[in-house]
Amino acid sequence: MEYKPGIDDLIKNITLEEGLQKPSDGFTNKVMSAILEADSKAAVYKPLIPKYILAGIASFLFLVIMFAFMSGYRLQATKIAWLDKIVNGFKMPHFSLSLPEEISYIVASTLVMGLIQVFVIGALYKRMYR
Amino acid sequence: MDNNRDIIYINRVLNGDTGAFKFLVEKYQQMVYTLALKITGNKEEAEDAAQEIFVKCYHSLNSYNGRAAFATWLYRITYNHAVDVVKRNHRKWRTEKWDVDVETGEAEYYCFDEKIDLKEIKVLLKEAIYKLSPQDQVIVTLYYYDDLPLRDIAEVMGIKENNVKIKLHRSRCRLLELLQSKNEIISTLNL
Repeated sequence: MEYKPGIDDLIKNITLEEGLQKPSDGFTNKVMSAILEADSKAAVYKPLIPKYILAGIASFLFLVIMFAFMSGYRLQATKIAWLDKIVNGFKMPHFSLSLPEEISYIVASTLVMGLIQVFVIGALYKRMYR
Repeated sequence: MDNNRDIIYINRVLNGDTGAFKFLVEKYQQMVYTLALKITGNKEEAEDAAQEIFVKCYHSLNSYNGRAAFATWLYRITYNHAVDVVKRNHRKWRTEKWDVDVETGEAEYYCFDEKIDLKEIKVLLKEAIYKLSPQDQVIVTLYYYDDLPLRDIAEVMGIKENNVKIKLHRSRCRLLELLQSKNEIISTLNL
């Protein structure tokens, strides 16, 4: 079918004459109300675990590791006596705890799963409160 | 330029002036509603969809990168959302009723013997345009009413520019076929 220019002008005339459809009265106000309502409902995202608690846990773990490291290791003496005393004076309190192997694995697995859950739930909360 | 004015209002909205978005709603509401209506075929659905489209547009404004005109970006959201509404309601796209109506002769109430004036031709063509598929109606509206280039129409609909050309050509040919079936109309128009 060969294209003829005349039909183009006719379609254009009809389309322009027909115009666009109008939504109901007050449409703009409805849209703006919907936007303001959505804005007011947006909740502020609160972290699952507060930052100061995370910082506390990280510091505690760091101290535990440092004490464990220092109590079993004597640093080479420096020329500063008081520094030597401080560095080599730390001793980890000695205690021993023996658990059956199964219990140790259960505790370790639970801790690992707990850490994973923290990240997963955190991501979920971020999505919910975006 | 028209798009420059849109960008001024977009920047105002992004800087916290929510009221500035009203300008964009008032400017584009008719086109958004019309496109949604052509796709959904239902006035209530189209109005709800148009409202959701503007809310979506407001919340996505920070992702508008200015590569295409704002109108093109908005129409793309409109098209995709309206299609989702149709799919969500488990409806299939309305297909063309062109062939069926020609076969049953519904167009034949325009009698060959009567003098056919341009007004009646326009009525005939108007009805025929409404019988095009939703996609073709969207293309016709964007091309003829909004003077959108084919490249932009392709971006709105997520199809290739060539496909848009073919669909537009096909729509024109089908409308011309209707006219050519009425020989007196053709001689009147000198097409």
